[in-house]
Amino acid sequence: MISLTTRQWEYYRDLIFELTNKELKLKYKSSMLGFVWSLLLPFSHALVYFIAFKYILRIKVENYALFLIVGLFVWQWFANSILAGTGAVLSNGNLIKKTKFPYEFLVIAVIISEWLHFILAFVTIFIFLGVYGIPPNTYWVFIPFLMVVQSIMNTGSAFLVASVTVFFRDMVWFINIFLNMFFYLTPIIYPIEMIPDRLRIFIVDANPMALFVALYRQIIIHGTFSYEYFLLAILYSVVIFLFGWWVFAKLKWKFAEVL
Amino acid sequence: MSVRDREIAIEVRNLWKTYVLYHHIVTSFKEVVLHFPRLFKKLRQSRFEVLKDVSFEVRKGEVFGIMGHNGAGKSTLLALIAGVIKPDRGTIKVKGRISPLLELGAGFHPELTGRENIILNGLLLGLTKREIMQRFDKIVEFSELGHFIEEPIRIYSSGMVARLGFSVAVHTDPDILLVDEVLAVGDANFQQKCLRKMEELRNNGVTMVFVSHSRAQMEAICDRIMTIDHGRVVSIEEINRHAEKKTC
Ligand SMILES: Nc1ncnc2c1ncn2[C@@H]1O[C@H](COP(=O)(O)OP(=O)(O)OP(=O)(O)O)[C@@H](O)[C@H]1O
Ligand SMILES: [Mg+2]
Repeated sequence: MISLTTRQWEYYRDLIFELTNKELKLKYKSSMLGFVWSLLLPFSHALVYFIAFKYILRIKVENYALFLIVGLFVWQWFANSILAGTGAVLSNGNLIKKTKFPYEFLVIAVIISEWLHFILAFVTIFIFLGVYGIPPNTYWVFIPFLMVVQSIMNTGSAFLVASVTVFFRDMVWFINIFLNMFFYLTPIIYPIEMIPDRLRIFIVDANPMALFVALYRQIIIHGTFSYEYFLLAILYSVVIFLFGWWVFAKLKWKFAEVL
Repeated sequence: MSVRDREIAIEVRNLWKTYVLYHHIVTSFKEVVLHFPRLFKKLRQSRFEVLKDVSFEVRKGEVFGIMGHNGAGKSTLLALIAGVIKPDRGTIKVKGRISPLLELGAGFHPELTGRENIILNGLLLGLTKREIMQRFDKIVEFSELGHFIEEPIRIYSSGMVARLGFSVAVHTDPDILLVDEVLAVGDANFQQKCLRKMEELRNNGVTMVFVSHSRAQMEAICDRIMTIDHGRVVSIEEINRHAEKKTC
């Protein structure tokens, strides 16, 4: 059992707070709208998809705007965590080369910064709920748990890309392509029901992001909850986390040499 | 009590360090795909032995100098002592808390201000924010940076960066201070001030490893000077500082 003294608690709290603070400061330095940009991006996507799918392809989904907003915010959280993760170690070469400290905190700071963004973005979802006149339901109590589970997956993914990118700079290109393909192969802009049965096992059951998006939509829009999906999402998240953590731990000894 | 009888602060035994030149290996995807078999051969060629069988020990409160040509392996040795990189073979035992590696372009984030960097550096060294703030004014005062402390590091001159780096390092109460050529970019005034500070720290029992290309500066402060040549220890000489002091 690991027990921390009061001073250690204070130390880790300060360390996480300052690293996250630095992350946010650097992200929005000399940007006037700052945080608003990270909301405008998913909204602009939502608007384009809404026009393309609702009015041109005439997709039949109830509350399509809300459907898109929920899916896009959840996706954006994942994608941003990965993209920010690529720079978590790389952009801190100066610090890593001079001092020995738990490098894991660099990744955790990035994750917390993205998490704060998601929380704030989530508030806008409630505005949409008001517009559509959807009342809250008891399944909402699962939302915090869902966020915790997705945080675990995001953290694992960020650990993985943060460490691998140090040795293999092409990773940044690969990640962009990967995220783009992954986005369209995940039921975000289209509903699960439209996927042919024989493809569902790949596109939904084997895809943690599909599960997360589906779960948030079930809770917020339909007032239902699939325990099966939830358990599966927990399983994937824990596996991804452990894998990412393991890779990071294996590679971190070489960071100072390569940076 | 002479330095020789004191306990050992840093013990380095039969240290070997090889760098793998990763950038040689994976320069691009194209290379990996096209020349895969050659990769293994290249892996062997792209190894570089920096330190070969290095052994020495530093006593508590001693100032230990390291000299050698450019690329001899001095900075690598300090990085190993700091625990930032790992040796291939051999052991390094260090007793006490180590300062950040003080070298040119010290561990600061260029976009953050001097103030933010002091706090960040202190945290990475293991101090809580409260402990850093207790020392904050002293750090700024010693560095003589004045209002520049609120400006981002990227606009500092190299001497100003060195001042801040040195000031943070000495005010965070390290047991061991690693100084790698930082004084070279400071002006005469600041160099004097740093040497005086190092003298004061020595009297408080702080151990120092000091790399410099200035023989005169080294002889003025070091108890012993080790010379390395292409990664091998050539000599470790005693400097009789006390005798010199008597004559002047
Ligand atoms: N991260 C690294 N990867 C590969 N090779 C490295 C790395 N760091 C240093 N080297 C090589 O190791 C050798 C020793 O470097 P080091 O920086 O220790 O020299 P030094 O004695 O400090 O030289 P100087 O007096 O110029 O500061 C050099 O040939 C250098 O090219
Ligand atoms: Mg050097």
